[in-house]
Amino acid sequence: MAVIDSIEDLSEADRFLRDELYCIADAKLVLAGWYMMVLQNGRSIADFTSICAMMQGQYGHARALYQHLGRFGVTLEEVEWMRGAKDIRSPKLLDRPPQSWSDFVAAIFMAEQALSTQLSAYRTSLADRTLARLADKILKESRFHLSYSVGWIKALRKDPESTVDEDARRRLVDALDWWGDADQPDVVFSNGYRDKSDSELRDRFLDLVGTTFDVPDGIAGPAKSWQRSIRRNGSPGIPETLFEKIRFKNRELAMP
Amino acid sequence: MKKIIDRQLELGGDKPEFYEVFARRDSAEPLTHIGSVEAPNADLAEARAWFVYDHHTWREMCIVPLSAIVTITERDSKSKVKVV
Repeated sequence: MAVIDSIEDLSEADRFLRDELYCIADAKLVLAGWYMMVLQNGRSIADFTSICAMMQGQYGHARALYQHLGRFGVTLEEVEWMRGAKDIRSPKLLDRPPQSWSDFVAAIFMAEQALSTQLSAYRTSLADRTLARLADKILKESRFHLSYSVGWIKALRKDPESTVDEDARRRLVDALDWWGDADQPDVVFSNGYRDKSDSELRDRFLDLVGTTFDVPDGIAGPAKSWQRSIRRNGSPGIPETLFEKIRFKNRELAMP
Repeated sequence: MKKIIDRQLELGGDKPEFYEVFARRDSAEPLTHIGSVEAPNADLAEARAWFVYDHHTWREMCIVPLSAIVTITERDSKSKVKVV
């Protein structure tokens, strides 16, 4: 394999793939941080165990994807210790802290569903077989994360005053920011790394969400400033307050 | 601060809903009862069972609602399948 010293050495397709994998891995890193922060809100030891397992799963997926980014000249040191809040490419969906248990459940449902939908398009990739196997393994493990959130949604809905459907509608608008602008060239798809285009994946995501929640027509917001490299509208990066919660607190201790 | 839990809503009611968990590591092993989980529905029971009983890489795992089990030797004794 060729040694990549800088991003300029990459082909256009590899640059786009690198960006997309960065977005997926960063989403998993932030989602793992969320699981870590809400752990004490679990309702039983079985819930604590489940949240811990999902946190560990997301950290593991993020680590494996970051490691795969080594193919594009990205080092773990750069990924884990050299970036600030402005460099994290997780989706807008995960910027806003959970407002309640119900909002947390709605948000993790959207996040897990969005990430699994995107990764499902890599499973058949002939252009990168290692990535295809990694995507398949991540999807198998994530299935139970979805069962967890769907189970909680059903349980919460038993209460006539539950806000889970309203919470989900708000989170869905943010989730769709991940697939902001379908008119931009989809180089990762056209080069065969993904077997579905972003617009097909967006539709698939909405179909999957529709099996659990009502999806109103025309729910997507404007996509005037959407950038494919960060998969979101507006300025790059996550809020400083969120970064402060998820970042390594002591780089010296974290160094091997 | 004491955690406030709505048992009816979050744990499936005042009477706990148990799901018995069965698994085997390979096809040569019999499907064995490995424990149980409490959950308000099958989706949450599936997730909790998978995450709690993760000490082996199971080839097969399934859950059965305790209410679906017909007891034979313990009929009318009100005893349950062993809860782990």
